[in-house]
Amino acid sequence: MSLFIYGTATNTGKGFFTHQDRQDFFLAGHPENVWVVGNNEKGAVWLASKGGIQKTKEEAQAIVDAAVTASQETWDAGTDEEKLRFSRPPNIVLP
Amino acid sequence: MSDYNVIAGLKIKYLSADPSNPENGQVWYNSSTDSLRVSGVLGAGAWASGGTVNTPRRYVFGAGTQTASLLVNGYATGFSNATEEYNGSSWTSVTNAPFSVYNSAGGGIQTAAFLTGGDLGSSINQVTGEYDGSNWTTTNNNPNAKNGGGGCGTQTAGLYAGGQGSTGTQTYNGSWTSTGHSLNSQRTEVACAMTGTSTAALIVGSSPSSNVTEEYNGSSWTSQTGAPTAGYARSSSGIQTAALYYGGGSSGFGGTTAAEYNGSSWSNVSDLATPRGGGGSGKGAGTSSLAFMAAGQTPGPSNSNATEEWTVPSGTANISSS
Repeated sequence: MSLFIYGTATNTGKGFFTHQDRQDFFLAGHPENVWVVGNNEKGAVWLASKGGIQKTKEEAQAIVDAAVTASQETWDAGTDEEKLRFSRPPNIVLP
Repeated sequence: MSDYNVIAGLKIKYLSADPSNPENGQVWYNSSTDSLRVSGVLGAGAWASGGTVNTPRRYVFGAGTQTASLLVNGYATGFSNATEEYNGSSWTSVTNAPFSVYNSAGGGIQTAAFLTGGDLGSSINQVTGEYDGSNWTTTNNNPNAKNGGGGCGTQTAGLYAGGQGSTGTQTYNGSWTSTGHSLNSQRTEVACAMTGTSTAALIVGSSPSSNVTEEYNGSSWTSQTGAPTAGYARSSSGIQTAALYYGGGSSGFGGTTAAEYNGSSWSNVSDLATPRGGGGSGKGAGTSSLAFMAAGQTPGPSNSNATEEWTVPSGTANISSS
């Protein structure tokens, strides 16, 4: 059994994930509302309760990659002054 | 071995149930559960989601507490003067700041904040703004203001240091005064990474990748134990002897790590759920057990509208003799 489940769910703000949720399962947010969730019963229930759409790891990684690539292309097209202002977005490898 | 009534000046109460609102450190015997009980035991801290900000942006100024916070300036689609207030559940847009910058810094609370510095695009902002909970006023300029200097303290006893590789330190009470007390290490991108008061401050990290920690006592800066991770654009909450640092990272926005400083050493605590840097935080108005991080830059598309709230719960526990 894999350590994580993957999905997309929109962060609705207060109450989207609680202090207790963070005690009950691993949770990490990524671009395009991709969430990596600890693979236990409470984690699965949380993703479902948030209207989450479960993805395979490969699908989740592809969503993140597309967002990061677009962000990198925007940065690459910027002026030197803009590039000095903010760092180039790094690649993200989901666990 | 001393007795409890000698230490606390009180005898242990014999109760049939736990008291409804015990004081921290209060001890009693619960006859129903046959247990000796104590209140004020700290649980495990964790980050929970808070309300989403109205204007997603990075390198934003934050002030105040977890339930009465302020978020100002930042880089949205451009330089922003957006100002938002938080009540512990939701953010409300209020009167815009008198300047549109990112990386401004200062301190205070939601109804009495000050800030200066930051990047205007073509120059550095030297104007100082004060917010009273409704309106903005501008006071004396800070001629030593930088892009990404650190700020903390209050409107009447504020502190500003570093920025753009500077080691300079200035105090604020409506006017700015250079203290002549130099940081031991140059600091860049530390707008939310300085916390505490004007006479007991703490500053951590710097761009491109530093874990250097320094304490200020009103007279000088001294180097302390380095933070567990190196990076910049961190956010902070608390005082010099009980501070929490979080977010940022070696690229300025990839970090989820959080660590607590007790005045001499660091310990890692639970991670943020969403990696961000340059998010707003309460700094000296917050604590190491009640903190927040709002907005900031994410590793992907850019600006975040997320808020996370850090809470260390306080509860009641049994006392065991073993």
